[in-house]
Amino acid sequence: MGLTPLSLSSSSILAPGLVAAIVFPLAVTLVGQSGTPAIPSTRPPAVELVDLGLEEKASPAALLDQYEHGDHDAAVRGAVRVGPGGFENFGRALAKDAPAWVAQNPGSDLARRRLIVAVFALDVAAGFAEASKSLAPETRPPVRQLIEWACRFLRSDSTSTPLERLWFEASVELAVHVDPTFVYGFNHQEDASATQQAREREYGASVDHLAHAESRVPEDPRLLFIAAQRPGGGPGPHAWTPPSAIDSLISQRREMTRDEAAALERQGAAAERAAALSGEPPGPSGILIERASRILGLERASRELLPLAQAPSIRARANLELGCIALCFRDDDLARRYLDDIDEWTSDARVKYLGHFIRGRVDELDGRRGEMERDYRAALTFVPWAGSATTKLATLLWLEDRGPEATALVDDELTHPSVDDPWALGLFMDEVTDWPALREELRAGLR
Amino acid sequence: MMRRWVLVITATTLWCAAATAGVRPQQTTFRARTDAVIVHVTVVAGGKPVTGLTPADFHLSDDGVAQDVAFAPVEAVPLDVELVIQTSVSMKNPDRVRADLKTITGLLGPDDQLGLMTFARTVREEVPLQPVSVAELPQPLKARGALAFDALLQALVRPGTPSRIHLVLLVTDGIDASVSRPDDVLAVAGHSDAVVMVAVTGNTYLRVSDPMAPKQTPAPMLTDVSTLTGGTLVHADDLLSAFRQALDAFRHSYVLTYAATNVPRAGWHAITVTLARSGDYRVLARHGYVRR
Repeated sequence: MGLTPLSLSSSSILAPGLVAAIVFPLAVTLVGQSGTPAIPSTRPPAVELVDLGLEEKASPAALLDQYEHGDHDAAVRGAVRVGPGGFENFGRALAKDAPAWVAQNPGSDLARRRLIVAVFALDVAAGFAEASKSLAPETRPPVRQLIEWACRFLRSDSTSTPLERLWFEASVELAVHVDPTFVYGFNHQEDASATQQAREREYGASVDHLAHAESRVPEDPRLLFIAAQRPGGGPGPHAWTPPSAIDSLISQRREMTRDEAAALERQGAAAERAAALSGEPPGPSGILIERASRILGLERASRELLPLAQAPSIRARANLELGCIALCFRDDDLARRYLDDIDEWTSDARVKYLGHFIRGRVDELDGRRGEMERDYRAALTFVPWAGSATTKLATLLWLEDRGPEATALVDDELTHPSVDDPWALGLFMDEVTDWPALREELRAGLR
Repeated sequence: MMRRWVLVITATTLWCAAATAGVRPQQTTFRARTDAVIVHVTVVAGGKPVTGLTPADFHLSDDGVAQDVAFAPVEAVPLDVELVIQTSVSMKNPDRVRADLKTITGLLGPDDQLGLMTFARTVREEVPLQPVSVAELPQPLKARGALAFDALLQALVRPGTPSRIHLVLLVTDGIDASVSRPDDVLAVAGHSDAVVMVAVTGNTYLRVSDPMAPKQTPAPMLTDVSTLTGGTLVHADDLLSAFRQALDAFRHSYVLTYAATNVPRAGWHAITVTLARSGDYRVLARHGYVRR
């Protein structure tokens, strides 16, 4: 396996205590398969790292043994307990120990042991991400680095196993929620702006995990599904785009060169459509240009998602996204057709919820109050007390002079504040994901 | 018409002095029987509050039936105050928020009630509406998100008591990612008994949840929802400042009281308030109440 460097930014891994004071603002050691630190000549020299006492707790090799024997949760806990500040050292230690661990039993199935390492790394990355959710984004550990290290670890060997496809699907499902830029790369930014260069410095060469996955398992429906949601012409197909994506879009607009902006302004037809959809007068305003760009992105996403609408592994989510896009274009009948049968294609209550909830939005905009009420009530059967459907239903009831019902509905919801609302999850970049289910499949496959 | 409500005012000078000091009086008592209705009314002309009006200047109808009205002193009417605050904004300095909440309880009178709702990525009821004396205000959790419209809407569909003023103070940075559309909030506000005061702590407004929805600017939407209910919009840097400004704006208003007569039905009662004076006056008052 080559020595592809991992680069760490000074802003992305600052963690409370531990290594932070020593590591920053310097880039740190970059480790390859051999375990030999590799330091690019363009970067500051690495500093000596703090000994976190991993051996006193559990070495990566010991945790890999534990993981191999099926004690998955305990092994992950053993890794994560070093805390966000210990993430880097753990990653380096794992990279150093993993090759030897794979090779230590020559008679065993090396491909399987290699996969165990990759699954363990993925699981640990998810563990660190979960454990650091409450931290400010700039202080969270850069778990993408561990994912991409495991990706390279797998790709470095020509031997492939059937379970590897599942690993790449799981890794992309996890990574897209950890760091979309890491998954999609910078291809959507056509100019070589200073910002892009800065990001490439931060992320290093490995900025396009999705492309790496697709190179290993081409034409995989799940990867194609995630690829269809990449940023670019628009922020993504989701009808309710995350605020951060909008911010990113606005930021991209600001960073556009004059020629690019002019080219976008020439997309008059899309702008006219945007104006018609929004009810605003057409014109070369920033908002309309932004919206025209979004429309082009939605149309592109729709084209790419359509072939996936029948793919069993991703059918429900593909139809959900297609329904959202149809709603954006106010093709209400088409939206209903995409959304009507989602229940049959998934066991995921959140996806079922969203199917009914978004159908309720379609009916609401279409003035079908009876169907709207039925849709929102159906959504609440899958995720009781979820705020989005509760609010919409309460609004409907209140305006139909059914105040006591509306009040009772809200009262009931407010007594269950811990319910995760699938719509809000999607809105705040913690989108509905199949990662947990895929992880379980991976763990089961290793047994 | 014989008045069926009972109005008891004591220590008038006390509450006048207290009002000047920005504190609701502790000794004032205003009691109204439950069939009394209280309507908070602001009259503006040329953008400024109009003072010096008398009860005879107002025409009020309840479900289309004209009612006899009287004034109640603003400071003497018991308040049901629902604070609806965005934690991602107001929690910039957690200690200050907690202190602000404590100060706010001190500004309210003994007959007032206080409730606290917070919103970020979810709407939470931190403290149900309850007497100020027993309200224990917790430390709200800081979180991402901005469901301002959803939170406001949820506060609006929980009616108060007709004989008290239901004051909802929304504190937001103006960024909203709600599932509720502005039209939803306006429609519900038009059928709510609450007086909505809005305190905006930011300068920009992005409605981010629906990319195909017309973009809104904060002032029209948030001003509309407040004026529709007889409230107002203020700009503030923090929770306490927002509350003080809202309370000040509230004091530049009239409180009409009446015993609902010849309108016995339960449910929503539409209220219309007009001014029996000619001139370019604007009358801001809630549009109704719920009788149980």
